[in-house]
Amino acid sequence: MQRRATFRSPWLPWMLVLPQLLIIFVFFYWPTGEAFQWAFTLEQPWGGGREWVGWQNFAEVFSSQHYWSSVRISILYAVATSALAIGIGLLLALFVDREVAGSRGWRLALIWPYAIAAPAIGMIFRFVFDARAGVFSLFNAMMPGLWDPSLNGTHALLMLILAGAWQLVAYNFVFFLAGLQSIPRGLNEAAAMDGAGPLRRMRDIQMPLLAPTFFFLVIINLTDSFTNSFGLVDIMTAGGPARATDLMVYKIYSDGFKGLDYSGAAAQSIVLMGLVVALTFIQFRFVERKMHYR
Amino acid sequence: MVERRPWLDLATHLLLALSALSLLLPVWLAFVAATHDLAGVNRMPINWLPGAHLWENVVAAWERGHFAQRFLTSLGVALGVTIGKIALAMLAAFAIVFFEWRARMVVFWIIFITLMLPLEVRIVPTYAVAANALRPFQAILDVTGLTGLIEAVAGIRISLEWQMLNSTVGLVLPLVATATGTFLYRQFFLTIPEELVEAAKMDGAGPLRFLRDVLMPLSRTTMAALATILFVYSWNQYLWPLLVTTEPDRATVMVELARMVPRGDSLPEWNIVMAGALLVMLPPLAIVVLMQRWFVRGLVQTEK
Amino acid sequence: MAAIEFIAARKSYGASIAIHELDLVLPPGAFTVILGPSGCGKSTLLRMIAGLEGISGGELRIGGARMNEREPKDRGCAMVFQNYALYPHMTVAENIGYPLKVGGVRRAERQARVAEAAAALGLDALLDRRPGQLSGGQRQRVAMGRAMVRRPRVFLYDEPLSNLDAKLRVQMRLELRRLHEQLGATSVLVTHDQQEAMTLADHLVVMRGGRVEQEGRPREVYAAPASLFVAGFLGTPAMNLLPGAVTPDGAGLRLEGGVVVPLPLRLPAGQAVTLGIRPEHVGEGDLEAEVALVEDLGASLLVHARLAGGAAMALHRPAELAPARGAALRLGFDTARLHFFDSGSGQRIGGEGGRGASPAGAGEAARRPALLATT
Repeated sequence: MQRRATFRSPWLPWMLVLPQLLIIFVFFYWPTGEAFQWAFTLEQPWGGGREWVGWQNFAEVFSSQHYWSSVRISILYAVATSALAIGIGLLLALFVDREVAGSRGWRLALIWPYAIAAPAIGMIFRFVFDARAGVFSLFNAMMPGLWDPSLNGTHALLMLILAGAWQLVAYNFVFFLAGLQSIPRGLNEAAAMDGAGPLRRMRDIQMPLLAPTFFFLVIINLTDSFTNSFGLVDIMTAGGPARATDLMVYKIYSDGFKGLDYSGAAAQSIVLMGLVVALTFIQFRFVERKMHYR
Repeated sequence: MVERRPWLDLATHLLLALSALSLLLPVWLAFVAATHDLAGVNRMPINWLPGAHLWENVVAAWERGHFAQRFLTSLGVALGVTIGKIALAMLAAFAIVFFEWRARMVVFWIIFITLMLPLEVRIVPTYAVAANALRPFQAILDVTGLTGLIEAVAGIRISLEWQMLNSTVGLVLPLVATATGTFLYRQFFLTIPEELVEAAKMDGAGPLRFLRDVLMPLSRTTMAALATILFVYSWNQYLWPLLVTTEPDRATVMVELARMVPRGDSLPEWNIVMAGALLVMLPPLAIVVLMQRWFVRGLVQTEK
Repeated sequence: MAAIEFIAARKSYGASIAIHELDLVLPPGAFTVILGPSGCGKSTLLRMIAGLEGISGGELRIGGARMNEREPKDRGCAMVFQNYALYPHMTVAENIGYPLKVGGVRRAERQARVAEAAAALGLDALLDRRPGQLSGGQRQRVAMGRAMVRRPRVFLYDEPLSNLDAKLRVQMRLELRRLHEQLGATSVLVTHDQQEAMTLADHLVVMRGGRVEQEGRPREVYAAPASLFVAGFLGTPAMNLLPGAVTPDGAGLRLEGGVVVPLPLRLPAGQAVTLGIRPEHVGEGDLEAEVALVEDLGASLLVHARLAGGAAMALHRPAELAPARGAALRLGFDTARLHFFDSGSGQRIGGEGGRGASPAGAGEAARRPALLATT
């Protein structure tokens, strides 16, 4: 990694990295450190400073039934969203990679959703699935209560998962397509010469060679679903009905900024950080190393 | 395509068309909703074809959401994040790749660890920092006892404060505090042949001159790819602007869009809300459509 | 014109030594070629002159002045890189003019000097192109133009011809030589191609393992290689090297297989000595051999023969006399053309060697085919 040809200067490199270091110190390391401090302390009433309370904040969080339901919902949401988005993304990429006429156009037709902001698509999905105004309004009028995400928690979560997957499909598609296009053409052609048809080649050649991309995307999708779902939840359900869509990241926000329970929110942040770091670690440790056929 | 399979090709096209349509469907419905009046949008069954009220709805959304101002704010944030991140990333990556200095690897890791944790997981304390960006430094002074020392010696109580709430700086800086661009730039710099550096040295160019005359022109494609990604990313931010803009007038378009639906049980005017949703998604959509090539490249290379 | 002097100069990377303590003078105004296999330190040596590598110990002087601490740009050297290192986003004119631009030369003068360099290299018509639109040979010229335009005291070439195809390489070789003569600066070229070295050099330096193995005029080095390594490295096809041992009386060398060759000087009995003879110097005589393989080189034939006892020997023959495989040959050597090396140390035995320095007597003896005895 170290290059042979470099410049030397006692101060210039420091000047060059200083702006970035300052910003990440103030807005990354300090807040992250403070999250840890808050998680293990409790602010005293009447300006008494912060008192060290050890694991008490965590204990409170873990003893809360609401918290565990939030964890369960988050995992369900993350797994369902990722599975849906990865499955569809892979399928689409395999077909676009067949380079039938117009595949450039297809690519554009499939990646634009990535540009749509969570609040915008959240709002759109909320409208489309609205019990009174959306697609289901007619059925609801005929059969009241058939579909109502504002009252039925399962419906709300389903709607959230669909919106989340809709957003991620494009991202996965782009990566799968890039992965497919980096498979040497000769390999595909050799398999064709060996008599393997297109579908068989997908299964025997392309899918195994896509394994690294696949696992990379599993990690990214899960991480994204755990951390980046705030916009959708806030716009579509605000955690409701009856906490049915109270995902971890949303709960941190509502406990911290609405409930003003900084210590509890900080403890939850630490748990979420642990989760994200663990996923990243899995990616570096196992996926990056084992999955490359080289 | 390796061989001719007309039926499979047809099936491929059909499947792709179907997928593209189902991706488009919700946005189509939103568009249709934005073209009807209130009665039209609440009709049962819903309208599948556009009506004639698009312009009025768009105007209504534009005025109700104060979008003239909100667009400016969002544009400021998006440009600030994009330019800031690219500039910082380029300089830092340059120092890490092209200089030999002792702290190189340490700085490298300090910067790259920030890739691991997204803003959402440290949102509460970050908000506290935005309320006073000099808070870390004040804390350092307090803890090291310097505050007390200075107070005793000079009789001045040091109290550092820089309140960033409701300011563009406050909106931008925390979004800049990750290493996405630095990583991409580092990858690009590592592909620069060593001889080019040496040739520049022989030609008498110093490091900054080399950066300006050789690296910056050569990194144009990297810059374009990064810029498209960052623009879309920062335009679409929601959580952070929601927290930082406590004054309604400082809101970004996304925060404003969220406000267009009344909390509670009253039925929203979906036609106008949908017009608003279409408006706010236009700029990033334009970027992706017009700069598809850069966007895809940036997406794949940054790997988030 | 500036001489380049290494005075006890060393280069090491941590524990590994790239250049052992070196004393070397590259003559002013000469075209010096540094030749050696990859990893011998020749490029490091060049980069030390350029200032791209630091010097771990000792001193480097150019034109008499100490260079160790000077920046590359202040040494008066220009360099042509193996892959040319042209700036891909600049036009030919901008590439050539870049050192002047950095040096603060004004636009008008810059343009004049770029035009001058371009004219000398036949690049006039290409000034607005970018490197990506040029052929290998043209890029090479641009790189040379960028070096020339600064009017340096010293030109450094790092394997400049190795990326060109064979025909172009020969052409560019002539061009390099012509430019050198025209510009009159000191030139140093690094290569692993011994043919390139022979044709270009006024002064040849052969390197191996971070040390100078031999230096001198190319003809001298070719005629009297100082070691087995130089003997084997210089010349294609390579010199025949036949191991043997000194006979008990100390006057002859018994090759593997039993052939005895008279020695030009007395050596201790039993010493392991390697005999060297270039293919073009193998003549006719009494030594029996059999043709194993014939390679047609066009102008002549290269015959691979096997001596009685199995030792292999390559030799040139005129194209008309094509011997069949398996045919018997009778070979002989001109004693003056023989080289002897100590098999252990690899060092040359017997004076300055091939320039008729056989102690047995120069003159007519050198022209008389040796008598070879088979025991």
